[in-house]
Amino acid sequence: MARDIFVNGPCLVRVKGNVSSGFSNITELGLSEGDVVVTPNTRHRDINVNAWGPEVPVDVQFFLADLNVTMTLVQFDRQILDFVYNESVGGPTSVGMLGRAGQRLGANQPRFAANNHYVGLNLTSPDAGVPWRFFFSYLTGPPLSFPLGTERALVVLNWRVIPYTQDPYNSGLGAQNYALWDYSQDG
Amino acid sequence: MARDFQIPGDTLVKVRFGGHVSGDPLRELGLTEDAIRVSYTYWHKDVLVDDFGPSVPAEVRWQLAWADVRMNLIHVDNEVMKLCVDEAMGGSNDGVLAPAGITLGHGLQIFASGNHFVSLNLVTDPLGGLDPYRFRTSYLTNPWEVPVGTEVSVVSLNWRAIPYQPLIISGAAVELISSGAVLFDRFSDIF
Repeated sequence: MARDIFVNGPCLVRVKGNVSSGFSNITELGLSEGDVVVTPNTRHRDINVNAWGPEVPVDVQFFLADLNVTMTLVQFDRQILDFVYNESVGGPTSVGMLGRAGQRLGANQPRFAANNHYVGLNLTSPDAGVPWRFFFSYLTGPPLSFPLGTERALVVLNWRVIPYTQDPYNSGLGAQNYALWDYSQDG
Repeated sequence: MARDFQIPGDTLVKVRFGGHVSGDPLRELGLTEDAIRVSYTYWHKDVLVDDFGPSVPAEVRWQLAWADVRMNLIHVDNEVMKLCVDEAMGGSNDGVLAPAGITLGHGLQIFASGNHFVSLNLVTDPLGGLDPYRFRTSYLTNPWEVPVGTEVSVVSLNWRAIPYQPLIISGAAVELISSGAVLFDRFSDIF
């Protein structure tokens, strides 16, 4: 692939929830006012040896990553936003309610199973043809705000994406080749 | 083998029970929140001679050792945990205690029916290149804490391993000798 200027194009945010959610098929959430910003947060830890002094490591260890996706929605489906928020608080009966304290979002269930409340977050890429799919996402904050007034609401959303799994041991492979995201879309 | 950083990698705790435990005696216990700590308590006894004075030994005698294995389990099979607790209590059953004074080994061979010692396996990352640890005659001891609340339970366990030797082998009584007693090895029970 040669060097080029990268232009994603208009980024439509689409989401997919579990089979019991109000958005079990891939559904449009909305368009953002500005950029949708994807920020991977990789974790490394230094290995220090006395021969190298106390500050600079001789090697580092990789300890996985999570990811934040921030956006300011200006044209969105209010009902889908409610559904997404509901999943992020543990999937209670109605929007505005809470799941119980300590509830697990994944609940040891596979993706899109009834009690797995992680959301599939999909970002389109019509110009560049490089969409993003984040497998296990939830809304977090701050910031997470919904302004109410006479002007159009600019809803600030902050998603967190984690490497959820049912079996962290994975036959001894751990997180080797675990997909935090890919360049596809949910069906 | 050259010097290098030793990184055992993700370690799965597995256990093997005696033949009296129903079902498969080979079980996965769980994964830990942080590093498993293996420590050895060595015992030596000083040999004092008057010529060396009253404090500094002229020789020391080896008096065996035991091992402590501490872990904080976060991804646990509760049924296997229950069995580990029951065996540590001499074959108790869910809080119903075995009689005081009962021995864990009963003089029986390891894994024989009625031998309540548990073989504790620390199965290290197979890609890490380091051998596993196996403590064939272990039991849970103090402290053992199970937090009960809304946050994920991280169960603190402390295993003790001793160099147990059976008194009966293939039905015949044998002399109890310490020579050759195994405290640990770097193999795994076959899973």
